[in-house]
Amino acid sequence: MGRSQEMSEEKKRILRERAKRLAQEPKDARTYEREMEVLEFLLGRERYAVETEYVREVYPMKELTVLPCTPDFLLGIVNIRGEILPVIDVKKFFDLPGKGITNLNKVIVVRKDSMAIGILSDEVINTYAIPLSDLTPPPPILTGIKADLLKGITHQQLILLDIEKIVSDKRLIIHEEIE
Amino acid sequence: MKNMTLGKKLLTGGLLAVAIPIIIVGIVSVYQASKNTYKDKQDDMTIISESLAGSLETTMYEQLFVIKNISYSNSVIAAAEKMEKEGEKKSRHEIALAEKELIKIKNAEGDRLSSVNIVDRNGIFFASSDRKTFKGTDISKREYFINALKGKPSAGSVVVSATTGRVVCTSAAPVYSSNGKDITGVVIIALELRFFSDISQKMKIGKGGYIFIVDKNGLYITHPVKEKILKESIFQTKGMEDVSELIRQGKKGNREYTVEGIRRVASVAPVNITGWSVVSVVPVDELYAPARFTRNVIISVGTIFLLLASVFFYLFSRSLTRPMGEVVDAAQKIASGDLSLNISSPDRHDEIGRLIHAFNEMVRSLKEKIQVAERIAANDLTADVMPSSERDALGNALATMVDTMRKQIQEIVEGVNILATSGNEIMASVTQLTSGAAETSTAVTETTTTVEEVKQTAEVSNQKARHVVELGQKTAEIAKLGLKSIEDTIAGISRIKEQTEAIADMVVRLSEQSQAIGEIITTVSDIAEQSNLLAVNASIEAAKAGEHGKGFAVVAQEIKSLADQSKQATALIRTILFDVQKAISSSVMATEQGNKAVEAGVKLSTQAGESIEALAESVTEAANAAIQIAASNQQQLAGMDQVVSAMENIRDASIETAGSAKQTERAAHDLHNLGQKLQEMVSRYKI
Repeated sequence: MGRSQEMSEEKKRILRERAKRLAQEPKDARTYEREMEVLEFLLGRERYAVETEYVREVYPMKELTVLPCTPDFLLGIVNIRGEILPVIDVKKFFDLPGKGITNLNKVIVVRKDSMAIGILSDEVINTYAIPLSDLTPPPPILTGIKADLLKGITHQQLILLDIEKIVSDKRLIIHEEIE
Repeated sequence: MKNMTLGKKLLTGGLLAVAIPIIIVGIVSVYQASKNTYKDKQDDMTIISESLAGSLETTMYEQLFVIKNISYSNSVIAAAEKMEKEGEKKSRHEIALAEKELIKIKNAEGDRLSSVNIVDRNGIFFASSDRKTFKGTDISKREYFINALKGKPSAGSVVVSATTGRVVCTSAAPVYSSNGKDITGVVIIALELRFFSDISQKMKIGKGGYIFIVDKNGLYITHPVKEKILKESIFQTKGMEDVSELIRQGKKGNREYTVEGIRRVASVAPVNITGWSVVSVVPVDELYAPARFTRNVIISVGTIFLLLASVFFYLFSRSLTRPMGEVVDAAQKIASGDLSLNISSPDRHDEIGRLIHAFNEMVRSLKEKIQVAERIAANDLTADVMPSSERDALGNALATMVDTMRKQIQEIVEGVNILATSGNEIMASVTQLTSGAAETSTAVTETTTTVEEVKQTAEVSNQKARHVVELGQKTAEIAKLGLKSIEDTIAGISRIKEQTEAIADMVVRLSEQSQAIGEIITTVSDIAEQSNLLAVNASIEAAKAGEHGKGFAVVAQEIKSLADQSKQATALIRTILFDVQKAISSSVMATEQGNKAVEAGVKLSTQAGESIEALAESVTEAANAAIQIAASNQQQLAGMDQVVSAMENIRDASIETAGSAKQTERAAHDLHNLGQKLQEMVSRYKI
């Protein structure tokens, strides 16, 4: 009951925001002309993308070393040309079914400033540009980390991850002590 | 005694207890009383006799005294003397004087004296108190006159008066002359005997007793029977000898005698002066009268008390025996098994009341037992018997009986059920048996027919057997030919086998080569993948380079498309190779199967050869067997005849069997019915 009440309140809030947003006129008409270079990849059957700006390279998933006593979204660490990088599994955030890790999996190495992490992808599709106007904010039903990690969704149902947030999110800092 | 009822016993005992003392006391007291009264009465009689005798004696003495006085009287002496001397005529004066004297005396004595007289020495009356009567009477012959003349006065002579004819008692005394020497006359007094009679009659003893007086000669002076007086003598009376003896001796005493059948007691007392005896007589019976009275009293009182006692004991015994009788009747009824009784129990608290109560209790208890028994009889065994006590033999026996019956009935029920089931089964079996017997009978008849047919068939088979012998010989020849062709076939198949093995080797080699091709394709696919990745990275780098990287980006895109194409090509090759490998596998399998088929063919051919060989032998054997069959058929024909006759016997037997099976069926039916009846009977029991 409590949950349904909460939901109904939330629905009300969402509906209010939507009404408010629809009531506003677009501020900058030039946004349509601007583009964004993205790297599309697959997680399960869903299409995801990251901004090419933050991508350092794509690397075959090899020699994954699993770390014990870590949260499940941290798959482990890989050695890419001498550099040790953590690999996170974005599927865990979006409740997507795992498929098992093979050599066909790729690690997309993203960086922001000096911080670099690997994101596991099932398959890397390609890089291309998308118009910014095509991007819509994430749906309001997403809350918590789901909402925070997304930058937007295109009309082609391409989900754009927000690398800056992923890299800088405090929740991704792992500090656990095992006795 | 043993057969007497209790009431009679009580009655008898009580009456005896009352009667015996009464009888003893009665006998003793009667005996005593009779003894005492007998003695008393005798004493009384003696006293009476003696007192009468005494008084008579006194009277006689008085008479003597009186007569002596008269004789001494002057006028009498003078008259007698004158008369003696001068005769009657001259002494008239003196006689007159004497007569006056005599009349005076007579009058003084009254009626007691009948007369006073003076007689002369010749016995002639010359003076008398009653002159007219007695004058001139002569009494010279009388004893008392003679005695008086001798000087002896006497009294008590009873005589019949010469003048009057009446019986009188005379006394006589001599009259002496004045000088007192000569006897001049005799004075005679006649006493009326009536006087004695009166006395003796007055002194009656009891009812039948009486008194009489006899003189010394035994003549009756007084007696109740007047005719006897002075006419009969007691000495002549028969039966009175004892009494007569006493009288004769002048003694006193008591004697018993019997005259005319009556026993009497006589008490004798003598009167000495006259020689008389006074005898008082009483019948013995009268003596015993008081004793008889006592006896009668005792008898009547005893009888009354006996009656009262018998009534009392009768009532008492009735009060005992009636309820006892009821109880006895009840006990007899119970003994005869009749319990429909109820002893009316008046409110008695003695032993009989308790007996009746105990009887009713017993009957009640028995009725309970009987109810249980009736329930048992009505097949109800659910009854629980509660014994009245531990020693209640009947109750315990009933309880044990019910228990035992229950168990037995249960066993019987089980047995009957088994029996009924068995009966059913037996009946079913017997019915089957009967139908089977009938069938057997039919079958036997059929069999007999069949045997006839078999006989004919045997003849046919005999012919056939000969035919088989011929055929067998032909077949053996054909089998030899078959053997040869089989050997040829085996040789051909062996050649096919060698060639097939060669094909298999080649196919295996082909498979190994296709495996190598697969590995190569994987390598190529890997390379394409890496190229693709490189292309992506290149495009990323190109993007980073901005405007300067645009051309490189195009190149990178081209490389990527090449990599994609090579990926697709390898995928295609892989598909084809996969098909090829499948085909190779199939051919490997096919060659192996071919190999096996060839081996099987060799084996089969060999077997066929062996079979044909065996067939040839068999046919030969069959031919031999057919010969034997022909021989045995002959024997069979002979056997068949025997079988036919045996079948006849069997048919008769089976008909009998069918008949007895029918009987058995009836019996089984009866058994079945019996089982069902038993079940019905047993089902009536409630356990």
